[in-house]
Amino acid sequence: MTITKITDVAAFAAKHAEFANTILFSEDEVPEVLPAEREGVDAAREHLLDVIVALLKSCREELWSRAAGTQARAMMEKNKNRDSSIRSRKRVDMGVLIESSYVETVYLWVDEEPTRPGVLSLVGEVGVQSKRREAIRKVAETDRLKRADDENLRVIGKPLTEGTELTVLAKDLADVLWPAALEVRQNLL
Amino acid sequence: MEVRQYVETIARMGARLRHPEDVDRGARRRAFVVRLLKLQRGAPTPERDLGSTALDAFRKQVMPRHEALMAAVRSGIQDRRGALPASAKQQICALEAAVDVLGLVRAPRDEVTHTRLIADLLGAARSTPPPVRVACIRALGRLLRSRATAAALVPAVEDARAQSEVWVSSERRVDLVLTSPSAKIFIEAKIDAGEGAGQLDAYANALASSLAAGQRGLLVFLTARTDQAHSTSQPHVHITFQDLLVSWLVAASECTAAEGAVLMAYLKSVAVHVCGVAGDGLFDAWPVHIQRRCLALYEKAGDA
Repeated sequence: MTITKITDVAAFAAKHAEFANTILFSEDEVPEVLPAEREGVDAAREHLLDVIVALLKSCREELWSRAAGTQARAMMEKNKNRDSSIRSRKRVDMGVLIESSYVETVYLWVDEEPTRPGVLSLVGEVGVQSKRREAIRKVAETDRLKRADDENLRVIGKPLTEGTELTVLAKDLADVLWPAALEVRQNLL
Repeated sequence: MEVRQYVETIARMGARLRHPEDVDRGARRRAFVVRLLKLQRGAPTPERDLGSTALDAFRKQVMPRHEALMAAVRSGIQDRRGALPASAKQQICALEAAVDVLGLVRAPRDEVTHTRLIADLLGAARSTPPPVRVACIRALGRLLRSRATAAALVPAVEDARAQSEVWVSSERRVDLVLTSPSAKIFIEAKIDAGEGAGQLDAYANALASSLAAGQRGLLVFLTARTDQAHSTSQPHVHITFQDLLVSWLVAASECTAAEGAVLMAYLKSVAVHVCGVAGDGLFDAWPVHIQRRCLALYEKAGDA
């Protein structure tokens, strides 16, 4: 089944991040979950991961389409994360080519954000190698583009509400993230 | 169509096919196959059906009581924390009180900063108190010996000198090197990135060619996640930052608070930003899933 929208179960999990992180994404068994509930919890976890993988891949494809025709596109696709890797980390890392090195990287993930506690958020970030930090320091923050703890430039996506198309969420994120990635790239060259 | 309905239909069709008074068995068999093929188009996919049934159970049983479930988990955490040995409780208290140094310098997951700090704690920095250096290097030696396979024998490291970012060829730089008259150890650390193509093989070759007479070599791969382990043919020891954290928390407990302040500040950063087993401030303020991970870490260590 192809997932194209945020489902009711995914929206519920996104609205209750503490529950999602503690019960659904627990690495070990949660004894407080009753035996009769375990199958449902397992199914919800797998379903939520399906949605997250579909969402992150949708964002990645949107960024690839923004990079179409540029040298960066081929390099962004070259070392793409496998689905299994995205699933286990709930995260996508994408090196953006600067000459022949991944000096700049775009990250995408879904997790609880310190600036938006209590909910799971779609997050995009642009980072550079630590010795080239000057390139991101030059980029000005905006209402949606903020500097994270490690100085990377971070964008939080629209809320993951039931029925929202994944492509809409991906386009919204890319609208802020991609211009920032390009500006950083310019600063690096 | 439900799975049960599907199975019942096939069973009925099969029963008719085996009727003893059937005079036109061949035609019936053809009709049976045609019906079976038609039926197959509407057949439920077992996984999907089971999944949606289980998801419905999640919607009906778990979603309405999620708050009660979380309250039960929080209560369980208090019981589990109370049941930990005194040494584990002290280490959690030390993590609560420690300053997150790499968070402060805005380099929480920067590999270079991590390896420099590890090298400093192992004695590369003169400011590291000798008891801390000794405790850290002994703990690292114990950890490496506990993880070594027969192919990667661990030389004695206790008298080794540490150096970070050592060039071993015109293109290759090892994150950390421990050298003593009898041993040379290359440690390559990875936090977010994976191993570069042939990186460990190249380091193993560089290590072999750099050994002085009487020195034994060892290659160590230090990673944030276990799935960053690599299938290099070269003998090496793979440890994680979590292994190092557990090992060095014990080392920190062997030092005075003043001596071990920098070590604890580094371990707090590792616990928060690399391993996800601690949060800011007091334990009770950490997110519930982080509290559970922290307790699981000590419970597993106790079991081992």
